[in-house]
Amino acid sequence: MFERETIGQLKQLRTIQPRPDWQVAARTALLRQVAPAAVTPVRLGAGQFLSVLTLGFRQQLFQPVVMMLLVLGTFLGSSLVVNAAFYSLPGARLYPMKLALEKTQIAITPDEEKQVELKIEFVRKRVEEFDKLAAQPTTNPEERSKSLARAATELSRNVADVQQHIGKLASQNSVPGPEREKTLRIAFSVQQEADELVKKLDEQTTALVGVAGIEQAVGDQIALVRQSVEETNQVATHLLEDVDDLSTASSTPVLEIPGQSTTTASSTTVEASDSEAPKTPGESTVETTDPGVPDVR
Amino acid sequence: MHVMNLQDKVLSERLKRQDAEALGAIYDRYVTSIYRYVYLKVPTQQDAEDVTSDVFLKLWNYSQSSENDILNVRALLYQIARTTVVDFYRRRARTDEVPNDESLLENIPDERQQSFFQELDTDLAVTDVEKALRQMKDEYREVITLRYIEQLSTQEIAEVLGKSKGAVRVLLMRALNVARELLEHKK
Repeated sequence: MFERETIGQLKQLRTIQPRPDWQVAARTALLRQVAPAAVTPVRLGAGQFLSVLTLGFRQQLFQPVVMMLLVLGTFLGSSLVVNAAFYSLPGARLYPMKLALEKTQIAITPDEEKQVELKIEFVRKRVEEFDKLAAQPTTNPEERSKSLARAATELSRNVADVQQHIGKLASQNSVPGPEREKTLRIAFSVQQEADELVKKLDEQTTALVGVAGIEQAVGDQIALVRQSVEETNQVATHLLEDVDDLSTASSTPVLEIPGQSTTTASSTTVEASDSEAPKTPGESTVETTDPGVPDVR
Repeated sequence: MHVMNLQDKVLSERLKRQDAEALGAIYDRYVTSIYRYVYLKVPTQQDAEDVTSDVFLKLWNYSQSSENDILNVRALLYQIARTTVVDFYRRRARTDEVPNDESLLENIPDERQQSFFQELDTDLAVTDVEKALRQMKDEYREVITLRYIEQLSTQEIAEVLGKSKGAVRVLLMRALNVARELLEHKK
């Protein structure tokens, strides 16, 4: 709860804006500076546009769900079917296949943290499916209502999955030292996503009010899902606090950031500066010579 | 993984082909975000404006000189902004740019040097949050800015900072704790 307030306060800084007159003047100056090297506006040809699209497709390929579906499609020898399943919505014939593939993906993922990430991603996908269904124009409101009810059921199942997982972690009497960091990360991921999900579910509930053909039961189901998400969030928060307390009590280093010295999870060093200027570059963690950062000087 | 939207991809492609209009379009899309990010890292508004202008020029130079495709123009802009801010402070440390003439100092426009009556009109809540943020360690302030103010995903922040997603999450958690303490202290 405190975190939500803190985040809300931080978001107020989004009101910081550049001066409009500077913005215009800087744009003009920038374009004037690059003008000698620039060519007349480039219109991409079909071939170039295709290469831009395939660049995006290559990026999509690395999403875990898509990777898994493609691997299975090769084995099954029916990649078209698998792809069609990936895009199917509740009520479609291939939708059960999509759910089965997701379950398989979790089953064969060995790392617990990745399993939770997958489960959270599937929750997000259920929410997206619900949105798409609700937005679809239809001449058969009853059919749509059934599909929405199905989507809400799957959503509540996926949320229950995450809740079960985090509940299992919370019920452990003690968390061994090496596991604490992973547990913290899992709990933190769940907490972060839960806040976003609650907002999304509130929007969905509002959007459903007064829509013709949508049964009250669907709205009620979404409200129940929202409650589950809130409960999951609370469990994750308590887990974060408990593991944090454990670490403080045992003075066991818990959190390690690669490349930095080990600190405890409760370390909250605040370094005030005399002026409003932030730290000098010598104390910054930014490394301009890191090959991973493009050298643009 | 963040998937750049189609518009950004097309603009990046046109940028590589020396299309100044594409640079203008990218500027229009991201100038407010980059300005805000830089503003919270440098002392004055003037500095923020200068550094922000540099960032977009560097983007142009990078697109012309690099063989690689720009996979994520948004993340690249933030990476450039980070290195430009570091360069700003290094230059300042080397050249000692603070003028000696006091009359010049009075003329330096700085919206944050406000008179008593202007302060009455200022949104004190925003000022307090900004002050709290400036008291934080640079790496905490950076990750808070990218996540909650600029609303980048954890994956994008990891790309910008050159860290793993797990490390970013841990950093976020600590940074939020610090931010909460500072903001409660200011109440």
